[in-house]
Amino acid sequence: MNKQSHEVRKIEEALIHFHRHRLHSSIDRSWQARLMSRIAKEAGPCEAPTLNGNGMGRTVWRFALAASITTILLAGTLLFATQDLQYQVAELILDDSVGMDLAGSFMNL
Amino acid sequence: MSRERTLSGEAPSPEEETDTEIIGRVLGGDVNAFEGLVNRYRSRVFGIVMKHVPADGTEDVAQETFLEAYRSLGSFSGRSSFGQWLSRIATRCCYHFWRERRGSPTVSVSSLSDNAEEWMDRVLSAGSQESFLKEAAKQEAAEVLTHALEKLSAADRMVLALVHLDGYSVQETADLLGWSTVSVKVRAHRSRRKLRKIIGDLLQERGG
Repeated sequence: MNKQSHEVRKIEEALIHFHRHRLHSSIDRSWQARLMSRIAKEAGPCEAPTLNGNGMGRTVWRFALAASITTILLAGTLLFATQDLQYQVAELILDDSVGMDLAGSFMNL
Repeated sequence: MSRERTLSGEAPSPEEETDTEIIGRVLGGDVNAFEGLVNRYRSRVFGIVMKHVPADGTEDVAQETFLEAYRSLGSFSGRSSFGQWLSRIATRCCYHFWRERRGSPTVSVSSLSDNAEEWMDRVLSAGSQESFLKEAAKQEAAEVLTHALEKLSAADRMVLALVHLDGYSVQETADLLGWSTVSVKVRAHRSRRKLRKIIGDLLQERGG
């Protein structure tokens, strides 16, 4: 070990010793009151963290709401789109004889 | 922490309640019961936070630790003790503190004061173990340590502090930070090398 490396190790050792034995300032008395006030504010009037955790519960309910709305919208769109399609097919077969004849004339070619 | 009901069947006092019982009360809606856990673990949390965060940030980080514990209380499985679980939250809050601070433009790495440079001289010239330890405990060391750690990234800093300064094992550090042991081992080696390089540079600057 050269001199430089020995000196580095010595300073490092001193810093480790300092870190492990340093004295810390005392805790401010009002700290705990402020913490409990923040917790009470976070909890709301009668809300406590649930067994699955607050965030998890909220996410599940939000997802359920979004999924329900999407399902209703999709079902509605599908219903109207299908009705329109069925109407067009029926119209083609029953009412649009000219069109059918035209199609037939092409098939006969 | 164990507890037994009294022979008369009276409810236990807050000091006699187990952590699990207090947690049950908090989850049941008794928010004020959380203060029992704060009273019990305040010193432990401050012990961790004060070692890793500068004085101007300790109270905020300690508050964040307990707030995060309160928010996540429902996910506490009881696999480890509440104290160990809370220590993990405190360590991660410290790491988060440094990640945020590193990103802020207010951090400045200035050069060492004359006092700190003289402290290094005295440490190097200490002849006996007794005089070395006496010097090592002096407040000037704080400046050198702060100066060196400020040059490291948040992740390097936390791993260095936990493994080399606090003396935790790689496994314990990985558990506290929620990282893999391989990642901690690699970072611990790299950060120690960086610390030595920083100290070497300081010694050279002082010499030049």
